[in-house]
Amino acid sequence: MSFLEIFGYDIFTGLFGLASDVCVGIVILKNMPRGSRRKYAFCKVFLPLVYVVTLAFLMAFLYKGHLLRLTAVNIAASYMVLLGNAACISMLFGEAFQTCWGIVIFSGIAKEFSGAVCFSLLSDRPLDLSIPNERMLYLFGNTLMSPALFLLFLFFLYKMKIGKVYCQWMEHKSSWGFGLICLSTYPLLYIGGAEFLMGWGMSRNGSLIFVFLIMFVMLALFNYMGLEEQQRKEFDAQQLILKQQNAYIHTLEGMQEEMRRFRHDYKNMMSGMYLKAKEGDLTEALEFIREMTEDFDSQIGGQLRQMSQLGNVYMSEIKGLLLTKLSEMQKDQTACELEVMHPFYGAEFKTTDLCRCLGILIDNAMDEVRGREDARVYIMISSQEDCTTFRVKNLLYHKVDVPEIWKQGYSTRGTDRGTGLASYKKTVDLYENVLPVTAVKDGYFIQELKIRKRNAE
Amino acid sequence: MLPVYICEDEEEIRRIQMEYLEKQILIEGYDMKIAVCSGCPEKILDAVKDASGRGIYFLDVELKGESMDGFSLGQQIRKYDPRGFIIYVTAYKNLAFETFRYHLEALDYIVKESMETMKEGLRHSLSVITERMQAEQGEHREFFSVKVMDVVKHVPVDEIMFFEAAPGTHRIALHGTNDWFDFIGSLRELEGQLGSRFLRTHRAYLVNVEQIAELDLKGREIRMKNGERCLFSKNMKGQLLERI
Repeated sequence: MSFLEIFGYDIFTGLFGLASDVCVGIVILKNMPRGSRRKYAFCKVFLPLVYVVTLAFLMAFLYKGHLLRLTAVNIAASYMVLLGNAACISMLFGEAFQTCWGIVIFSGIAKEFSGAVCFSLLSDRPLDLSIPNERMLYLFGNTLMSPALFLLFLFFLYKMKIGKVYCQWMEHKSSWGFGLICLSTYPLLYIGGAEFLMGWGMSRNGSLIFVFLIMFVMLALFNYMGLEEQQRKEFDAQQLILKQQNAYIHTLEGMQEEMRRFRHDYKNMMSGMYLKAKEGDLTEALEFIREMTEDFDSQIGGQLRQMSQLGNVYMSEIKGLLLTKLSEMQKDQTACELEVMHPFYGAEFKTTDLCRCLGILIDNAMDEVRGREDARVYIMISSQEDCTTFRVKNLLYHKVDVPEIWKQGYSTRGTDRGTGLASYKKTVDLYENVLPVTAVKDGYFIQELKIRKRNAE
Repeated sequence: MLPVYICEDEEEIRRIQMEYLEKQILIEGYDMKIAVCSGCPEKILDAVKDASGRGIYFLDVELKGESMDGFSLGQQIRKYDPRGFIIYVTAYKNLAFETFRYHLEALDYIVKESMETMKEGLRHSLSVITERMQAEQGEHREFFSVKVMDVVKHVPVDEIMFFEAAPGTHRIALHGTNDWFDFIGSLRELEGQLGSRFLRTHRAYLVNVEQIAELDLKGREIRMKNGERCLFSKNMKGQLLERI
């Protein structure tokens, strides 16, 4: 075969490999490659193409130089392809390299697997490409049969909702990193292992089956670990919910107690009013009614309102955070105007980060108004079609130099504080779909966190 | 003449509102007129689509049996009349009014607890609107408007210190006297939009020349009137010194 023929063939396989990785990416990330701007969109097509052509040239060169027969070179070449593909995927999807590396590894295993199954079915020994007949068979297997098997495999993965499992797995740094490293050894295992076993006199198919057996055991093990992790997470979440429910019940009981006291008072007031009305003193009677409604509002109305607003928060972590803050505010005798008009289910912001950021904003507002007369904090969570807004507002009692508040160590109270807003800013800046807003308006200090939903551009 | 729209699903209350508003307009001699008074939000919207300019809207929050509630009606109205006055009327005292004000720039809300409080609310709203309109006439402040996701922010141009571009993204940070926020955009577009009052002193900064307090020629830093600092590049030094 001439150099050009091999070069052309390598371009084809390179493109196919990249395309299949993109497919896996779509399945796992449940997201399409994103083009942010025309200038970059051009880059996004151009760079992968340059990469594929360069790679094909290199591979053709290696093949022609009979270097690919060396196991070490073969393994190195496999890793090179994996790294390159991962970089391309990372660029196309705009995801972290580590995530994309995982995708490429999974896709690679699936490809090797389908390839191996395909060739085990076609023949029982390595095909000799110099014989035209066998070359045809090789091409048939490589271009038609193994892609078909690969797609079939992918379809199964899709049906098994592997994307969800994968995403959950990624959330757990420890098992994720370890698993990824183990799985990353697959070219080593696949090429080296098969070579080694064949050296021991095993047939090619036998050695392949053996190697895949090991790989499957590994995959099953990680899957198990992932599931276990997931169960632990679920357990923790349940514990949290239980705690929240307890707090909720506690609040409700408090309200009931208030209600009972109010009922008692109200009986007294009613009899008083009755007397006044009987005497014909209508203004006094009206005053009584006004007082009573106000009393009710201040005693129970506020809490009732808070609880009904809180009912619209369906993300249990945020609900828990709000419950904690509400009870803290109650201790501080700070009133809280909580507004959640539309149901809030979640935002595209990492849960832990969202809790931290919102916590910092609320803490700051609480710090500012604590101990003041008529201390009040306004919290609004507004879920709209294409974005969610978190807004925390409080009266300002002293002048703040707003540009200063973002600096590490800035605080209006004490020296050991003041890491809050600096880390808030740092976290928020990490996300492309999050915009922070700060304003001073009519004597109020207002902080907003706007999170755009992914599907809305 | 400002058209007044009333959307209220209870017929009796709608009648009272209309009669009272008509009376008030007559007594106070306001330049207003009841345009549409209906329980059906679509009717209101059709009229708003045809009308030009701003109007006054009294909207019931809870529209029972209709295709949309007061909030979505407000959102629709805002598409055609971004500067109109929206006042909400509700049966519940605990309206999430911050949300209404935030998304719809609603002026106020009236609780229809008793007829007296409702009438008082209506009267008060009309007088607030008139005051606002008069205040606006005297004011010739220029505003910079920009979309931040689902809301539009208006910042007086003389309160903007500078714009800062974050490297590698399309994010622009506005630094002002009272506002600090990020939005998606490009400095080049802003340069064209804002004209010569703003000077592109640096690759990453577009500065309001009138708000410069002092220059640090050595460190190539500009100190603004609000104390914030930004940078200027070497070849902009001449132009900067010329302008201040």
